[in-house]
Amino acid sequence: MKEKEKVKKSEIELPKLPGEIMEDILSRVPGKSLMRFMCVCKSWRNLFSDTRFTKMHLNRATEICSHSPHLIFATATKLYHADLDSFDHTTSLHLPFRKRPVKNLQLVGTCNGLVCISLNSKLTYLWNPTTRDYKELPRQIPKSRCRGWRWVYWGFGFNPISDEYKVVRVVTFSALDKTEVHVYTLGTNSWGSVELGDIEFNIDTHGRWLQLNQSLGNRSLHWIAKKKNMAFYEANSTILVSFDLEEEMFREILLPESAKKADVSLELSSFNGFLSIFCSSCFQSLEVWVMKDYDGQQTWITTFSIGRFDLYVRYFKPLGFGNNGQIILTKEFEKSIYIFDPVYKRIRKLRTPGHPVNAEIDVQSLVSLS
Amino acid sequence: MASSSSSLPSPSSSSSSSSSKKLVLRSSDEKHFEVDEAVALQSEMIKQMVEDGFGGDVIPLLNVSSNILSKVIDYCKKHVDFDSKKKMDDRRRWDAEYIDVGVDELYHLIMAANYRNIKGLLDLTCQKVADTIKGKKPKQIRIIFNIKNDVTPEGEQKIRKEHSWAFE
Repeated sequence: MKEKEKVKKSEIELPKLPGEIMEDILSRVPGKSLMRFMCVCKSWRNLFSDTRFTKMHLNRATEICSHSPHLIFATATKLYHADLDSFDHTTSLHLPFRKRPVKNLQLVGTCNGLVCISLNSKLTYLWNPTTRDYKELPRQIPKSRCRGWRWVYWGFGFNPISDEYKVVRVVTFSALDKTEVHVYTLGTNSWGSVELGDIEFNIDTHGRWLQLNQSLGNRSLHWIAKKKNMAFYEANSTILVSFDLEEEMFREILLPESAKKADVSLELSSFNGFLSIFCSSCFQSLEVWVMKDYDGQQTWITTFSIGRFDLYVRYFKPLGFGNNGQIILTKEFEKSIYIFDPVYKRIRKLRTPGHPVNAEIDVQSLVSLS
Repeated sequence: MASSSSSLPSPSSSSSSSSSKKLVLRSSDEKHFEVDEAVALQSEMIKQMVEDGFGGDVIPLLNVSSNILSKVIDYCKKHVDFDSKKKMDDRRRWDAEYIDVGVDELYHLIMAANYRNIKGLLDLTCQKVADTIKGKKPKQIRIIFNIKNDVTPEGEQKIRKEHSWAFE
């Protein structure tokens, strides 16, 4: 929204506020505005790159109902941004590290306002679209011990214990029944291998970083995976695994019963800070399950389900939750994004310049990559 | 529960029905306010004073005028109520209405919340200022907070160029 009104002196001019209150206020202002406010004075500009302040700002941004989250989505060649509050237009995100047009862009994931993208399957970047700060990941990935046809899937997340951002690369050699895992750590700017032993599942999607409540020990990436030795159409063949970024190991998390059926497709999300899962049956109706005791028994409770007549859209793919429990959806082959309000049963549509292949909901942060 | 000072103040008023413990607060302009202890304890500062044994006397709040104090008490009363009921929507609606005040009052509420250490009220007031300023231009921000511009025109030009996205 453009604001043209002038500030009338008498109308809005605050007497001097103590420094810590001024910081508190600024920590609640969205990242985009803060980039503009760098022009206000030197001390503000310094403040916005101060680690203590950027952490405070990030904590506020990830608090529920604080700053409005925004949507980053990728078509096959470009990245876009949409504000979930106004939800009236999309903005193309210019990649500062890329002069020529991109042939193949993959949005690997987002975490704490940082975006991980892979270009033409060769180069991987971490990028903060708010500050424009970016880093190309080293290309020296540990050598594979296996040869042959391979599939590569990624995950990008944050380990609050070591205060480190990590990129996880899962390489599956399907003919050999082998999986290798490589982990990049931003702090050391280097890749390492993880010894896994035999694992009983195949990963065939990118992992998700979900903004879970901090008390839940939010330090894992999550993947929907397939059990080995089972056909994809068999019930119970789909499983949920987490990859603990501190211990660097996989764990299986039991799925709710209805998610184990063969004809449902699953999407992970975070609902009010809890791990949640969308189970859509034939892309026509939707069940939402939430886990409130991630660190304990790990029981799933169903929060709501939506029938096909409520949703108005068919062949959709849920992407996640927006503000106030609204659900964000895309539709197969369609150049648009939908926001569905399950309480008022209303749906809004936003036309997009291309078909959104992948999308993530994230905050605007000032997190630095150096 | 709060540890307790034995000597109950029981100030002037005949607080009839309610059996809960009362505290008396005094504003900077010497007005007295009798409130339930639970309401006053929303303030971390007062909580500390009560724990230190000052609960029996009149608690002086030197920096808070009576009109601001009564507004702060409104907030604390309502939030004691909310805490026991937990209706998020009601709370949000009430907060939004409560904070719809002029700049001057907003400023004094921030200072009172800060001085008396009432986290909820400080969050609410700071968020209100943040929401007010987030769409504004640097020039407007300097006026609002009375900040002297010490960024050179070249410096400003550089920021505008590097972050042109933020100025759209």
